[in-house]
Amino acid sequence: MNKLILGRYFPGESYLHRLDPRLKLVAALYFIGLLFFVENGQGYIWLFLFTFLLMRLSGVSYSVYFKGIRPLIWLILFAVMLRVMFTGGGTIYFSLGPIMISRFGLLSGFYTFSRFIMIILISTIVTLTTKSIDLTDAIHALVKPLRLMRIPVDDFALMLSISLRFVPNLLDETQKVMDAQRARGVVFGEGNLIEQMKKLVPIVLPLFVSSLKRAEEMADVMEVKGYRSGVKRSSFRQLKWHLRDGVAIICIIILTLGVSFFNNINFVLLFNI
Amino acid sequence: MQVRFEHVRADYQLGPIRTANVINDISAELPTGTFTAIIGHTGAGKSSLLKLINGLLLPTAGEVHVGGLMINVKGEKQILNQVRKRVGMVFQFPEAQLFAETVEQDIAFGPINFGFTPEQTKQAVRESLDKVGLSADLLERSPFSLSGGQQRRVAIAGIMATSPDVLVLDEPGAGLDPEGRKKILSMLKCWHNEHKATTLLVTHDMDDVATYADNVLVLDHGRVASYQSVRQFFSDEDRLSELAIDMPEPLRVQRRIEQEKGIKLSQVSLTRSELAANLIKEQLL
Repeated sequence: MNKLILGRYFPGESYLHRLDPRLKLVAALYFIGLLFFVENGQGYIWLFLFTFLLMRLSGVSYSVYFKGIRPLIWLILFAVMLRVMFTGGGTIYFSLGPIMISRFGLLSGFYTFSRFIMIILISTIVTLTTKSIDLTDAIHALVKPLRLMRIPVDDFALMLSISLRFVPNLLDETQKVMDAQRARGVVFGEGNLIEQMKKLVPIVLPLFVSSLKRAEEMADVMEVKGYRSGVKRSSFRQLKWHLRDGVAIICIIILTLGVSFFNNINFVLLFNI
Repeated sequence: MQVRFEHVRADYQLGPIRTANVINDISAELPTGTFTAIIGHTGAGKSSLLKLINGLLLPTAGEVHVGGLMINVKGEKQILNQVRKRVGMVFQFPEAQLFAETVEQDIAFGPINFGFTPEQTKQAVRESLDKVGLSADLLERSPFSLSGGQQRRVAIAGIMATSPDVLVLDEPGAGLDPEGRKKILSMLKCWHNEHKATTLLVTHDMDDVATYADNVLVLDHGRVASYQSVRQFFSDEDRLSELAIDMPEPLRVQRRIEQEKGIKLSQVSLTRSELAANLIKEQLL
């Protein structure tokens, strides 16, 4: 439970912490998109360098990031293995039936691996340096145009921020209930699948009960404080655009130019051959 | 069953954030059958100390001995299971752990996990329900249909049903009305006396300390600031103010009377009846 790094906020005052959350969100999505346009190893190395620079800038130690990758590493390796084994082309080093290990296979394995790792790293960077409340504000700001289509954007944003707000509480509570049931003799992580599923009941049920109770209390309190849905409301936290956000955009442009530069190099080289 | 801490240290790891030395080199011995109150300000490490006793929190250094069993940094599963069987732990707001369809099933959860036979379980359920003062016709009810106070009793019954040798209580009266609180505590005290169970009680209420405990252990920033008998502890006025700890109500009244009358009673009064007796002895009443 405590090993999950992705989605946690790490308090700090770094450059990345102070960037506009809207920018961070859009930039992260853009970066992930960019990953799929890279055509050669140099491009990936270029992006890796950028990612490591960001990790450095975030003021969080590298080991925290790698701990965040660890729970997902088997999934990634599985995807990479599939890529390696079923992609043909170039020099073939080994083959057995439909399975083969080829030069292209190894390369595309490396690309898949890099994409996975960087997607995780980039999203971890965003969540580690952005408070969940800022993130919801950013999402809210970005989907605001949907209001024109009569979608209750504000209500959804509120729901999202409330649920994110209570994630840490829920984790705490899970820990408490698990401790309580452990003290009553439950041993987690033992027995076959069905036994393990059964052991979840004494945890999940109390959590449901307390969440429902809290939701009801929360709804009452909001009503008492005068919350009505569908009313135009202002916001206490105003997002402002700073010079540093402009700088960040320039960095992203440079990054993009770099990618296209490396893509073209490859093109030129191929052309010469 | 004796509980002994030997140079225990522990810390919490919550995601990437590590809180160092929540428990900082604690050594203490709680003899068999004693009732020890654990007090200290918020964040002093009280709950962590309780969790160390049944291995929910493992020490980073040192050893915790429960009876003949020893928990250290390794935390071997086999030993932890045996320890948990011997230690009953009532968490804060224990009603939050109720989950079963009926009261009976919920109380039986612990005994079944610890390998009681069906007959033993049935008997244990009935006995412990009786102990907490609930009637047997609640057995078939859903625990969620009960009142808050009843839920708390059911939760406590679920822990007593395994008849532990060590009873660990983390503010068992929190959030109850004064009457319910008193009932729960005197019931736990009663159980302690009958079973000679080594009992630890975390509380913020000095009247509870004075009424129920034999010894008092004060924690401060993860260290033992004081560990002595309740009477000795409350006698030392200077130390109390140094640790910023209140006096129990009867003692406060006594001090006030002493101040007004310019006298000193020979003994500190921990309960109202003691205070009355002391005052009569000094012929002030």
